[in-house]
Amino acid sequence: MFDRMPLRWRLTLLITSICAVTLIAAFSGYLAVELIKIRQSVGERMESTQRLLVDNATAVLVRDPEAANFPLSSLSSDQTIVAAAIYGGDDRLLTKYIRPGVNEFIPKPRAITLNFSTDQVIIFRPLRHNGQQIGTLYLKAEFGGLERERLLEPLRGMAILFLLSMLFAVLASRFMQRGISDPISKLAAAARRVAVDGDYNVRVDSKAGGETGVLVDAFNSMLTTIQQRDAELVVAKTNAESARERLAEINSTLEEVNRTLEHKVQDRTAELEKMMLTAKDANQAKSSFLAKMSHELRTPMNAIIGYSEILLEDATDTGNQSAADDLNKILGAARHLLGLINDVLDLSKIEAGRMDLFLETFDVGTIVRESITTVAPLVEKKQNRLVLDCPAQVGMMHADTTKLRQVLLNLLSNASKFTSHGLITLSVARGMVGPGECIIIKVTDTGIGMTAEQMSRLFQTFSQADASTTAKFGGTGLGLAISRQFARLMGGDVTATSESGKGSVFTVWIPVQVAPVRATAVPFEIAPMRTTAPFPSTAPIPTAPKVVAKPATTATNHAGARVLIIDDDQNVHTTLNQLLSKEGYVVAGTATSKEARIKAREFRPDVIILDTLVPEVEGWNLLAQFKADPELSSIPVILLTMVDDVKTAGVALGAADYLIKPLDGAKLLPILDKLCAERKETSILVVEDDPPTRLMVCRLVEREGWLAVPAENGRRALDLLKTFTPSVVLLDLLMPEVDGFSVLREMRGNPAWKDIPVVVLTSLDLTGEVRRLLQQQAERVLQKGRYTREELLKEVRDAVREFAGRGLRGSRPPMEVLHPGPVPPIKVSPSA
Amino acid sequence: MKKILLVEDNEMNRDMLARRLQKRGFDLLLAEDGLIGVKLAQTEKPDLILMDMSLPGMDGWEASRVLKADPATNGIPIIALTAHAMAEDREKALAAGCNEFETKPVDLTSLLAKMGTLLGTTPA
Repeated sequence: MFDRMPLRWRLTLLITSICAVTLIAAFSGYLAVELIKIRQSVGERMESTQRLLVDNATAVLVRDPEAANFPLSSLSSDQTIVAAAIYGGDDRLLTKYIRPGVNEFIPKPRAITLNFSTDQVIIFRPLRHNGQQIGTLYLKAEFGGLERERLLEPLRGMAILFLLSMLFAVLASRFMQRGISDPISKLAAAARRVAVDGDYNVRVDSKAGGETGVLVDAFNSMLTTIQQRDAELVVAKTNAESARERLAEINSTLEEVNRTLEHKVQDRTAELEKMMLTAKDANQAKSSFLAKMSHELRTPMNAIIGYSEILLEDATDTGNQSAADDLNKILGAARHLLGLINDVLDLSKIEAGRMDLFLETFDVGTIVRESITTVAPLVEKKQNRLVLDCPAQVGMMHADTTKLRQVLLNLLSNASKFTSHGLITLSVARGMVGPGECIIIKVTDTGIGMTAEQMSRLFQTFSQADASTTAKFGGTGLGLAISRQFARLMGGDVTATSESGKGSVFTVWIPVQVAPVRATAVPFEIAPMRTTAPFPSTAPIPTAPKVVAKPATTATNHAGARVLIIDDDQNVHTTLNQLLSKEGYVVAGTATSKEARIKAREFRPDVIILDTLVPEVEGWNLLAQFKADPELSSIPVILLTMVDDVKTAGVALGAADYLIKPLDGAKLLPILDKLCAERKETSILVVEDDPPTRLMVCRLVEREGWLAVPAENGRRALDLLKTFTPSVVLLDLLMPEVDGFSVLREMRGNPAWKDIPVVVLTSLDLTGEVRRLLQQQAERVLQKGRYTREELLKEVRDAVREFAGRGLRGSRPPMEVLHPGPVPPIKVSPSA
Repeated sequence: MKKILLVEDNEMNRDMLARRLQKRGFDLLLAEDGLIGVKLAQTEKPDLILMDMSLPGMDGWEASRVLKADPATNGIPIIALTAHAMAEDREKALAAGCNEFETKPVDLTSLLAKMGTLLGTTPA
């Protein structure tokens, strides 16, 4: 009960009860003392009353032992005396007094003298006279009423005092306990609100000091902390919530993307599968076409050759010499044509990956001797001598006889063709090439030989050392390319060394044990079209567009174009520098031919002006050197000469134009302008995400004298296309952001771009269907790793021509989009 | 006079080769497909057969197999003529029972040498 009371009440009760106990104790003490005092005074009074009575009664009895009329009635004045009696010497009751209204009886006298009980005193006292008891006095007094009366009087006051004290105690305690209980109550109330309502905004407002104050402050700060924590928690919760929402959002986006991607992948896969099937069919068709063609082409050749031979025999028999001569020519042409057909078919087969090896074990010596027999007439025709150096123990090998024979015949007939009155040596030996044992066959001749430049094109198809050689020496120009491919198919190779005017050495090596490999398509090196030889008027491959309205200001064509002047005459430099600088050209010059090539590589001019009479090396030689340098060969050269007979030599050496000294600015400027315009208009956009490949292709393009504009992805390419018109776009297919397919689509859908030729370079193994689709949109599709540099350049050249052929005019991007400087030059090892 | 059977579907080739061989003193029997060739070989018993391989109906390989399987004709030497200058065609021809092989367009000198060997005579 007490435990459940509010603190306020408990404190009040505590203080009040302490107060009450104190007062009661004080009052009780007081009353006890008072009571003792009363009793003493009663005793004293009784003593005096009794003594008086004893004296009086003794005196009466002495006088009259029968004094019955003793005035006991005087006792009535004393309120305390209830009864009194006097007994005679013989204990006979003489007189008695009983207070009126009191029922009392008088006892027999006893020896007891005094009997003092709580509120009454009984006294028996002997009455003596002269030592003799003459009687007994009995007295009975009651103090009860007296005591009550005497005690009651202070008790009343005390009661009032007590009540007043209690009232004061209650009031005082109520006031005093407030300092303790109020803050605690407030704390409790606040705690209840926090506990029940969860309201952490509550603060206990109290100015209490001491421990309570500390408690309140602690409670408040605890609440503040909790509230802060709560707030933080709420913020964190909100953050977590929004993060979760964002996560869910991202997740759903991702799922969406995933789905789309999956669809795309599925679609593409299905597409690719379909295309693969188509491609398989196409491949099958191609090989059956090849087989058929070889039959269809050879059959009529068979008839032509056969009938010619019949007629020739007839003509010889009848002695008709002129008919015989003509028929011999027909036969020769027909045999040449048949050779061409065979070569082309071989090439197609190799290219289509349809060239198979028929391996057998045979005696190398036999094949070698057979070949010599076959080629003998040709050797004799040119009055050459053929020496065979073939040890008997050269032995057997396991290879394709037909192909080995063809290679041998080709090398021997080449040697015969390009040698006259000379020596041809055929040496056969066993040796090691790399890890394997090989048959090494060397054909050495003492013929016309080849220059380094001719050597570099040696194994390319349709390439003989010189265009004129075909006419002079015959042959298809395919033989060496085929020979090399045959040798490579068998795991070997054909190599050549040569010195112009001294002869050539061709070396074939083929493993003794050829592995039966499934033939695959072998890329050919296609000879580049020579753009350098003739003058512009007779150029077979014009790089300039078909004349479209030229811009009115010529300055735009050559602004910033670089011109390198090579002349030992300082006056020429001064004059040209002034003239050309004024026109907006950037001019550099050198006086010596030694410096010229270095300067040309560093300066990368758009046009070179070359004096034919520079010292040390003749201008002609310098021109030839430029044209033989793959890095410089594309730069047009204008010859300066004193005499007007340079045209033929210029044509042969690849000069772009020539001028006769003294210089006429009016003639030079249009030529320069035209040459620069051609170069300026030809820019190639190279879209490729792989940096090394991009750089490689860019360098290749730059070396051709075109401007390469690199783009690292499709998006950049499309952005660049908005700033200029490239002559050709070289396009990779798989790229981040925007891929090649999309670029093609964009380009073909845009009227401004749809006529720009596109050459696709891809590492994708394209199926027939994809290839077909691509070819509808792109000019050419080249497979990475399959094409050679020359092939790529040929495609780009063709595309550039096509671009021009469409009557289009290219442009270069503005300087600000061409952030990187010119492509750094590549070190080119001398071609040998 | 040696009797030669020439089985060749292409009229020009047949005519050409026949004329050149006749000029060199051979007696020529001509057939334009494998079936006629086999019949002629069986009835006429030529000394040598020149057999084109790509023939309509019964082809040269099949005809050769038939002739080599027939005891009446299996002694007659056959020279296979084919436009396919491929080792596999030669293998195929030899597998079908042909004794020799000549690539078209025919090099007459080479053919006459082979014929001479098979006929046991020196070339005309």
